[in-house]
Amino acid sequence: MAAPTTLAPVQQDEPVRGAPAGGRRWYQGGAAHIVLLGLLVVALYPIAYMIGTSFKSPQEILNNIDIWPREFSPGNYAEGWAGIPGITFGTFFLNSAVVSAGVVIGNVAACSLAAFAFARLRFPLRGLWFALMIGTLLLPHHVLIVPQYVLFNSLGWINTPLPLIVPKFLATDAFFVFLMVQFMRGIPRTLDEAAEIDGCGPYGRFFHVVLPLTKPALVTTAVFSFIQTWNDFFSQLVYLNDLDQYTVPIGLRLFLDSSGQNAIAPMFAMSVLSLVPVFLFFLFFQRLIVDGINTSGIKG
Amino acid sequence: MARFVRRTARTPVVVALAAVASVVLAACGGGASGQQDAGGAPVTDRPVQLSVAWWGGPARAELTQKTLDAYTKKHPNVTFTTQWQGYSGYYDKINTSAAGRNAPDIIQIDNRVLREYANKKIIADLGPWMGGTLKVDKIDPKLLGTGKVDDKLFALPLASNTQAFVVDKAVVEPLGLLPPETGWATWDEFAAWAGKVSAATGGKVWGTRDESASISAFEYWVRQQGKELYDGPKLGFGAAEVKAWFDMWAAMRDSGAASPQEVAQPANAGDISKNTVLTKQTVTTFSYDNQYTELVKGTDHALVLVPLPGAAEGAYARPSQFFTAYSRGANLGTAVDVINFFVNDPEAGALLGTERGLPPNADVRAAIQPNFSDQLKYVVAYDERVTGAAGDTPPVPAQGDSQINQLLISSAENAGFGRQSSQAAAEEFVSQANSALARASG
Amino acid sequence: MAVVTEAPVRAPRRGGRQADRAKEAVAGYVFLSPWLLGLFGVTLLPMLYSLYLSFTDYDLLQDPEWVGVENYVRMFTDDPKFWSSVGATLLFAVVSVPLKLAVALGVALLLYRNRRGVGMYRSLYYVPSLLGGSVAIAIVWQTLFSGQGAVNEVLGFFGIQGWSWITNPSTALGTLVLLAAWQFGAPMVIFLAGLKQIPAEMFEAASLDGAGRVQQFVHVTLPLLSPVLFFNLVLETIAGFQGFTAAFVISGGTGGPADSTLLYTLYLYMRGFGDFQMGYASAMAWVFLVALGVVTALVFRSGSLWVHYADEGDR
Repeated sequence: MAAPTTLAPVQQDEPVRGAPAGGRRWYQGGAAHIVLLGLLVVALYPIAYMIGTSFKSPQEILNNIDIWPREFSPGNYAEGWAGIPGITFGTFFLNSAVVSAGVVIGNVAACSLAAFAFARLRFPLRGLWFALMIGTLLLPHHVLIVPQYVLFNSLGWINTPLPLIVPKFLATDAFFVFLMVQFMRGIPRTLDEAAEIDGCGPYGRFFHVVLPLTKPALVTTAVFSFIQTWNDFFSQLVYLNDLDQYTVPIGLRLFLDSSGQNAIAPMFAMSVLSLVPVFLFFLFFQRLIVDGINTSGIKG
Repeated sequence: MARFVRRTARTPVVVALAAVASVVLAACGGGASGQQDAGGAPVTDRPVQLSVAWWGGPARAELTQKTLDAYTKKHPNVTFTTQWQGYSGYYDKINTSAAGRNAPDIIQIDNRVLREYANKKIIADLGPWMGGTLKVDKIDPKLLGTGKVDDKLFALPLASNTQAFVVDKAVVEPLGLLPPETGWATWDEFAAWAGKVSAATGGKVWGTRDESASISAFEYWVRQQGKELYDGPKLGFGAAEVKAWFDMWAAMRDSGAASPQEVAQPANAGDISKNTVLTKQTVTTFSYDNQYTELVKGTDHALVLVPLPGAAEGAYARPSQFFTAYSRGANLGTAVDVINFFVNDPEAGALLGTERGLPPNADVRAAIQPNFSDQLKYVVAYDERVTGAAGDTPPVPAQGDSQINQLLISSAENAGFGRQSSQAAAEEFVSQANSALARASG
Repeated sequence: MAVVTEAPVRAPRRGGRQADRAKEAVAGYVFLSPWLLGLFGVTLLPMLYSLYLSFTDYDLLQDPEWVGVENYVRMFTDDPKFWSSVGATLLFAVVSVPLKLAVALGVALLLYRNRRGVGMYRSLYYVPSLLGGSVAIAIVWQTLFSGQGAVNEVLGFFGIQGWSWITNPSTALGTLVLLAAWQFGAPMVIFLAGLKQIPAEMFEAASLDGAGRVQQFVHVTLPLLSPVLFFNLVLETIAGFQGFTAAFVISGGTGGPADSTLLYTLYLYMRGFGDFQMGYASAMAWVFLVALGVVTALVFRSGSLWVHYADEGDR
């Protein structure tokens, strides 16, 4: 199986192992479903608990540890949505969406460029740069907060989403560069060599050969970036000041002040609600991650 | 890939780095702050925008915002941007912005960082405005003193509170074990009472939470021994006191009077939602009295406030939070005027109510008292009863106070879970606390 | 992927080859330029500044003051909490990383075939990982592993008397490990992508040779999956050692009970922001970078022994 002959997608609905679709398969499938469902119950129990809790009254939350409320209190959702004076949770959702979208676009665009260089091109100092990139993953980021704050403050970017978004367009998230490098290295080199013989330069190879084949990694980057940004609390807290700039993770913590008031019930309600966009995002794109890959599956 | 490294031409990289580094260093290392307009009058005749930061929940945000709006109504040129969040992470953000020379103009703080911020010139000395822009004559001098560092006023108390044990009345009253309003004469009496409660509930509910990790309860107790938490920049007590404190609680745990540390631990970090009276695991726990109105919302049981056991001198009127002015703020005079408005203006007092605690200004307090709910009246009565008999107000905690709190928690947990003897835990606590304090005031 | 052997031999003229190289080098830097800008502008500079801070006494509020290697000396000779945090972090990483990867690979193997509803399964299995370090999940975890929590109810069904796992210093770290392993979605998705990349013919060939399921897994799946496994191993190792979020939210930022969940990065954060010792925290960060760098280098080194790349024929 040296060189691929075609880029046609592998058929999806065909049993992968080519075994005859007989009784044995059905039986195996049933067992697998039972295992999958059993594991799922365990994995989702805490989530169910969270949903159950979001319907408990404030008093019940503190002393009823059963999964379902004794007294159904859907009012937590209304209270949570409008619970912060002068603003609704909708603003936080919108802000989070803006920041997340910026991060997603930035990461996908910038990290794929860098990854292509590392995975496919030869140039002086490549080893050094690659090592530095991995190195940036290793330093605990808390010690960078203050110097970065100083930097962005001198640019006048505090209290705007810019410090959260712009660096992503400069591929500062080494995790995703590395992810794409690994992925691109899984694409047979023979493909772009064929393109090269056809007269494609590095730019053509990137746009016409490698990028289309990297789609699953791009989608993975998009999904992970989105989820990560949607949940990231600390950097958003540090850079955003005004209530109307706040994002969902900051918004959720506004309900909690350990020294005084606590509104755990509405916080749970909004936590459940904040899961919905990320879940839908994942549900929509997960197919592209794992299925899309088959266009490159003919290598080997 | 090693072969690429070999070809490295390092010099240009290093030069570039050095150039950029010098920019950041310059940005970080600004000169000392100049308090040019110390004592300057508030600017209200041209547009001024001030940023205000505090921690708290939604209710506090609403009341604070209304009060700021009321100021703007009086002085239309002065507008505000606000930053608020829960206590967790609050100082991280303030410290980061202070490191970036970009802190808010008005900062709410508590006394954990007061000395630190004052000595490091993050907050302005309010002395030059006293008597002028800033009126302090209606504030109890004892309470006002809590905002002074080395006799200079750096912080204005927004509210005060005092120490209490909150007791689940609904459990103890039917048992005939409701403690009197004046509490228990001694800690031994308290231990015996708690033991009776545990026994009477059949071990379902403990008489008291194990409070050995609570620095506030420990402070109360150590004051009853004639000591203070701090003696200047040093600890005001020794390992012997800590060991006696740990042993007292160990005895209560052993007798069943106090909950095991396992039950007490979640609330050690001070999170009100882990309060063991609200979770109905114990009948008694430590609380500051101003939290009472919040606590009763979390349970269907009736709660009462009782002074901590033993001599009343352990208690003191404690500032729950202060407003301070950022020393590098562009409009210090105006910031001070806003702080003054919060503390002394009757309209502001009416808006703020008692959400942060009891108002420090006696006139304001008297003016809004008639509107208090029964719960609030109960809290005020308790507070006045206890602080009336209270001891001297301790000096502002030493620099490094926040570490002492954390160190006591770990040592109490080590002792409480039997990972260390009370002697070893006490000695480790004192030695680590001493070196932390020495370093902090370094 | 040993099947890909030599790259087709191209034999252009000598001069042309050199020109190609130069062109490729230029292209390399063009592609790398945003990243380089980010490295120098946003990342490297603050990193180097933190390196400088590690040799200073820096309390965030006043200018840093040079103290030489004092922070480093203190860390190794005069800070018992430093060593207990090192111990907790090692234990956490060594247990949670393999556990999480095993769970992720196991579920991915169950999920990668196209059975009915597989998209839904994938998404549902991913839900725990959507939460990150939210406050809500911290409260849920504290409740589940408390004295009367669901975990003890299940154990009680089997006649096992449990205790409050999360507040007991000997088991609290274990609940963090479970939290980390529970959020296995990211490596699972990456494994799934990798599994899908394995051509069906490879299994057919192995089946024809009479290989059983286990043999197929060992001789076909694992080698072909090795780049993905490698990737997950590297990143989960780094994430495991950095394990901040879980410890922070579960312990309420204290590392309790009795410092048993005081992971290295949490301790570093507490020093830097809570105790106003950013110089010391920076020194801790650089010690961490060096130590984790050694671990990562070892993982990379080991990779040449067991990772097979599709493009390696060209190297």
